[in-house]
Amino acid sequence: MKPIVNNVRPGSEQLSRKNHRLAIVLGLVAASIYAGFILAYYY
Amino acid sequence: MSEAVMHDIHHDHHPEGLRRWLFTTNHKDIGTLYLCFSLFMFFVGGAMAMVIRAELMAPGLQYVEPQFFNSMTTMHALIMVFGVVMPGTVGFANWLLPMMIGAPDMALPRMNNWSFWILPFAFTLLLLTLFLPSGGPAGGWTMYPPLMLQTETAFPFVIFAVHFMGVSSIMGAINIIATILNMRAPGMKLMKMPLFVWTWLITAFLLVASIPVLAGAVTMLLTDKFFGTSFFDAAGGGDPVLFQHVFWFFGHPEVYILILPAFGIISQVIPTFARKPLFGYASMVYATCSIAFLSFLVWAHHMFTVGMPLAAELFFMYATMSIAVPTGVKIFNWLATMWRGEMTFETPMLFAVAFVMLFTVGGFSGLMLGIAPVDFQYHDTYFVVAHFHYVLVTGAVFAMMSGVYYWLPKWTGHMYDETLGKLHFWLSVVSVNVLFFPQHFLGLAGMPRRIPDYSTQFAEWNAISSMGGFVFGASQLILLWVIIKCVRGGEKATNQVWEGASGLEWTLSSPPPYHSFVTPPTIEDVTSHS
Repeated sequence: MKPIVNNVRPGSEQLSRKNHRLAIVLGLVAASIYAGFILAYYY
Repeated sequence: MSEAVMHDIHHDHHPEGLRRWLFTTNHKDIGTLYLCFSLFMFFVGGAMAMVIRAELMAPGLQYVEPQFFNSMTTMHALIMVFGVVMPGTVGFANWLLPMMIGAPDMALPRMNNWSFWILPFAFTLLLLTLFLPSGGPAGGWTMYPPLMLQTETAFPFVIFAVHFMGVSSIMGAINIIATILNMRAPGMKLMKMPLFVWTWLITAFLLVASIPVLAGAVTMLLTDKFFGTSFFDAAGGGDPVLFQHVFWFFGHPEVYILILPAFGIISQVIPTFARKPLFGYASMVYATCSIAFLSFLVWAHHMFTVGMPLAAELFFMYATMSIAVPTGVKIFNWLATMWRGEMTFETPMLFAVAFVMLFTVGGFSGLMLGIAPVDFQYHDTYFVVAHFHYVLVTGAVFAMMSGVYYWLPKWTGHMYDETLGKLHFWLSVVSVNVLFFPQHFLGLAGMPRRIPDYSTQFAEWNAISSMGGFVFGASQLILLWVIIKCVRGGEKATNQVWEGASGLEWTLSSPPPYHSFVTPPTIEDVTSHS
């Protein structure tokens, strides 16, 4: 696969992992708020 | 570093034609896509506003059926909020954030592509409802049950469209947070970031926290309609007012999602044309954080009339008033930046100065609406319509226009036509006040919002408002022409473009290379937040 541009930075694999980790955490936060509101009102 | 990677750094290779735009992971391309989408939807939503104003030009039913009129108000709002202002400011973010912080691209470029391409799909789904036999949604953009549950075939289309818009926004917000927190060039400390970057960082957190609440609310609507739940159905033990609480818990932060990036744009433009650093940078950052925090504590001021306990009314009233403090700090700082500056009034500055004055008008009418006992008179009248159009049109939209004129030479490499820009500004600023100011009088006199017909006592101000609306609508064609003309050619723009501009984006060529900052810039040389 053609490298994406931010892979050209020194230490970019580390940076990429850091970006993905943060994205997953924020995604989980958003998903929890979504599910939390619905479940809180359902029960 | 592999040869393939080195090759990519030094050449602006990208696919051509449709493939470039469909598969792009480049922040500038995606920024352009967002901005073009926003402009297109501005004209779609604007055409609906023209239908609304034509119908309201005189009392009695003129051109459209009441059901279709209600569809127009609903769709106009959904399009302008989710299809114009939000994608427009995300377009600015995509184009500018990496260049402002010295990053080569957004943190998650493939997700960036997805965030955009979900949007045309969502809005096609929404707009197609107008062609259904039972018509589009007509229950208002706030989608209050039980009215919204009476929507026929269009209902699931709208709910899915709103979900997709939410997914797009959340993915975009995550990308922006990851970019700003992880991708800054060495030396670009948080308190050195341009204010536009700060306002977007805070906006992105607001998006992650509030959009899932909207998604939850509309999911509950969907299950009430199709899966036998009774979240909002009193007959099944539910409560319709619950929806209003949940919706506005999203809805008020949403207001700041729309306006904070606009504050960021204005904070970039005014120092440039006042030729002075931004006054009170740190206080601007803290004021933005305060506004974001308070935005989660004021939602029920949208529903003072539902019959809340007095203590709740008082709490929400005073919490609402308290937002005036950090907002006042911002207005003061913009004025102080201009104070004794060597100001010139090119089109971006004209729109910025108009923003400061007219957004303040919207802010003051907001304070009036925030007074609980007074709101009982104003609630659901044209006073509310006047208020939020001052905040969103002369606020958010004027700021975006200021930003377009400000960065267009950087984006295209050509200067725009200043005469046409000024013509666009003066026509817009006069007509927008003719359009919206009389709506204050209509509201105070008791004209309800969302009605196709009205008592004859409201005829004069409605006619004047409609005339202002038509001129404002037509004026926006000048903006379109200025943009097309600028993209196609014109006087070559310098790298700095504006004499007083400073910040990393102005150190790049105009237009910037396809891949910028492949080696991190030196921050010390640039006063990043002047």
